[in-house]
Amino acid sequence: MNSYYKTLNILLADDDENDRMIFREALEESKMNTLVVSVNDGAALMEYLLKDDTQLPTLLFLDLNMPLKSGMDCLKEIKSVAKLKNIVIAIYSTSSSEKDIEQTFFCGANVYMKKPNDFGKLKELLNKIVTSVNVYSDPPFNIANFLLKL
Amino acid sequence: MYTQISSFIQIRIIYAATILFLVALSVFTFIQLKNLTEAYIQINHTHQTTQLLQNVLTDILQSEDCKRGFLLSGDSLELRKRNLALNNLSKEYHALGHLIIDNPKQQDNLNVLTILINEKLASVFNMPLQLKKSFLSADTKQNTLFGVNKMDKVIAQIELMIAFEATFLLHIQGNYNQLSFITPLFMIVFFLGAIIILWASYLKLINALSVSEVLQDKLKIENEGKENLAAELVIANIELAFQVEEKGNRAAELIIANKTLHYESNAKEYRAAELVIANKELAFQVEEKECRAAELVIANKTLHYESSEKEDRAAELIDANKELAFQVREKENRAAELVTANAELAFQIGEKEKRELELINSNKELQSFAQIASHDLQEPLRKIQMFTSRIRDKDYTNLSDYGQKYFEIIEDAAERMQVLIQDLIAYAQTNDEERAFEETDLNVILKEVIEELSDAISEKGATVKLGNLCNAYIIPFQFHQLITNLISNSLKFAKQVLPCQITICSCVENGNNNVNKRLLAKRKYCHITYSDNGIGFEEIYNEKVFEIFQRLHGSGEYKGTGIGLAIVKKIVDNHKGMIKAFGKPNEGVTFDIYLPTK
Repeated sequence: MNSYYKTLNILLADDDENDRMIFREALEESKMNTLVVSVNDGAALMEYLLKDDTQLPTLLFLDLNMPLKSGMDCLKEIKSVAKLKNIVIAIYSTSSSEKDIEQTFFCGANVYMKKPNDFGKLKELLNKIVTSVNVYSDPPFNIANFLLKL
Repeated sequence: MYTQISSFIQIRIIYAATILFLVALSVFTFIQLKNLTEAYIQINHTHQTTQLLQNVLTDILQSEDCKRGFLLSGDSLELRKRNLALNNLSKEYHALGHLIIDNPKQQDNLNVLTILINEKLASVFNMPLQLKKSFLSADTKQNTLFGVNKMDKVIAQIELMIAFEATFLLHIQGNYNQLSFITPLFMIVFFLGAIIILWASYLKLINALSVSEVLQDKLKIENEGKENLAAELVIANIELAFQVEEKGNRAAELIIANKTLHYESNAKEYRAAELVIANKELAFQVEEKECRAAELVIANKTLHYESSEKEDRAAELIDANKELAFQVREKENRAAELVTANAELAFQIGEKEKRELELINSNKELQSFAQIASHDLQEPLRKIQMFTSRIRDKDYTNLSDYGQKYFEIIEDAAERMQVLIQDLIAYAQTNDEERAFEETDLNVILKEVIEELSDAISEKGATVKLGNLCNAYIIPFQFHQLITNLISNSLKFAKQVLPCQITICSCVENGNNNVNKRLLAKRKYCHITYSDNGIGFEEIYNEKVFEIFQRLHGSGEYKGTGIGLAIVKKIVDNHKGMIKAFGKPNEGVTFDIYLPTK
């Protein structure tokens, strides 16, 4: 399966070290052809994205609750910069509050993923998202399936 | 008003008539004067014609005369005179022709005259220049005779014309006389008429002016009268207000005076009664005194004895006084205590208010706690679960038997923790939501809940029996939660040997104080009865089951967080209703829920 697709560049913005670790492990175990870069907070994320020599990711996993700059602020900023507009954004958060889900959708996020309690679920969810991004140039995410569930 | 208008109209009519009259007068006068002038011109014309005719005759006669004079005297001066006369004749003849150009008859006459004159003049010119030779010639004689003859004819013709003019003159003169008589007469009549009309209008105007002056005077007088009246009214009003005030004062005084009088008469009656009593008393006293006088004698004897007694009593009285003083002091102390107690009470009320505020604050804190619980508390738990799931996937088999057992305990605890946190959030949020009350059919909500729990219900082989159900005035989603929690509880605490059976029914009834003191007798309530045939509980726990974190069984026997019924209680409180539990061990539990109707 991997060989059909070229390597997918994934950027993960999450301040929690354990989550970053588990995220990498899940992608590795699902054996998808991905390259993961991670940043530790919102400010670092924007700095990385706006640098001239950055290889822009196709898919960004964005935590909402981060120090220095919140995921929400980053989302708004990314959607206002022309060269970053086309990055597929997956919200990756502990929160499952209606408010966060609605707000991020209306700010242009493509999919919302609540951090699962189980490693198997995490793998499954990541698999779904990565496959969608690989198969469709314009992933078929909409308000109905915005909150990704298993 | 009407008369004024009519007088205006009258004056206008009069002036219009006057103007018409004067216009007619001037037109008439103009025509008459023109006629008169024409008549005058015509008379003058006739006179001129007559004069000219006579002049013509004179000139012809003079020329004849001069001719004869020349013939007789041979004086050439006579010839020149004749020529002069002829010259005049020609001028006058032309003038005459001009004058009678408007009269065809006279023109005909003039034509005849012209011929005659020409013939006559021919005889005048036809004469010898050598006087002496031709003087007596026959030719001359004949010529002279012819001339005389012609002369007669000319004279006759001229006289005819003069006579014609004379008759014409007579006719014109008649007209002229008539006109010159009528014109002044008419003018006088017209002037008199105009003067009469002007006089009439003058009278009318004077009349109208005097009427309006009288009216103005009346108006002025009336206005003055009204102003006086207004001033008087103002004064009268002030006077009235003052009088009203005075009356009020006097009424108050009278009331006071009445009260005083009433009091005095009462007092007097009282005194009269007192006097009567006093009189009787006096009579009685007189009798008494007599008796006492007798008694005094006896008393004197006993006095000795009594004086010693009195001394004893005085000693007793002193003791009693001391006692009294003590009691007074006691009372003062108690009053002071009461004041303190009041202050205490006020302080307690203040405290209660403070506590209410604290309660509100603590509710808010609970909400923020829910927020924290939903995020921060879940975060470490999620990690525990995440990494235990990693260990289970990767290293579970590497653990020793003990290790595996302990590991399972950890997993269990984490899961319980998760349920607990979720329940806590649900409990905190039952405050938070907007309370949208709706008249709702309980059938609908109950069927929804049963549908949602259908898996769990069928798994336990349970049945839910719905009896008669009414409408209730509730917050639908909260009531949904309430029923869900009750059914979940029943399923959880079902007997293992007997399939769980749940019965739910409701009806509207009046509040009954006997059932519970909190129910108002006048209010209608929706009374929902919920019962199951589960394991039940001891009666002493009827109240306790609703307390948060209250669990009647060990966590090993039945899973639970002890929040479910606390949420139920809270929801019923949100509805301003009441819930009672009646548990019987091994028989099940019955919940009576009373929700006020709309």
